Amino acid sequence: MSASHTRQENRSQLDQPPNPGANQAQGGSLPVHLFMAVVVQLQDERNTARALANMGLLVIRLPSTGAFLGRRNVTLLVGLPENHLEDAVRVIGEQCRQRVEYISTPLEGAPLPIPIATPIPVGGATIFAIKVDHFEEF
Amino acid sequence: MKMIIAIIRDSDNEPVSQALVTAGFRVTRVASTGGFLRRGSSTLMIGVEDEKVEQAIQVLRESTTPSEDPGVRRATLFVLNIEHFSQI
Repeated sequence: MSASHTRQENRSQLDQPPNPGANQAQGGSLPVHLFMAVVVQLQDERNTARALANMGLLVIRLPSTGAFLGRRNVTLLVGLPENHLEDAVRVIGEQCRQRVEYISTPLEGAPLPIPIATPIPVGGATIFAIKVDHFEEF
Repeated sequence: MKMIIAIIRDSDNEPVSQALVTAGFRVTRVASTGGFLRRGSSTLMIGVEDEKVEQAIQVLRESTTPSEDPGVRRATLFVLNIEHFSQI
């Protein structure tokens, strides 16, 4: 199976609803070599988990909290078969790209609450991949 | 030292945790979702000595209730190697 082939397949699957059948059919048959913990922001969690599940990977969500701002985020635990790391990292990068969004905040010093757009950086992901000694499902 | 990350169904959490603790394993439970068709699941983190991994997996095998649907898995296990372990 060529890398470019999988790539195209993944693209077309991104917009589709999650397919639990695909998860079992593909992810179940390949031995898991890497265990990945991915910390993503709450707003990116849905798309990221869906994209990974559509790759046929096993995805588990853990609600977590960032230590710096105390903001809620999600830790995804992912089981990766061999040679899937690059694809998985690319998919996560597509879904969690750092970007600037604007929130409305009241203008300081104004007599009336005049909202102004304040840019905030959102997105990004922290990825840990750990070698799996032994993987088993029953 | 190894760490077993076991993802089990929520309904199995109580008997599995009990069985592991009874067998002398230390278990940390984290609530999670997904894997089993987005249903609630429990993630157990179990620290075990290298030679006890098999025994722990055996306890998990025996304490998870068999599902009526053969397509649904009872547990998913990742065994990870731990470089350093200490309890202080």
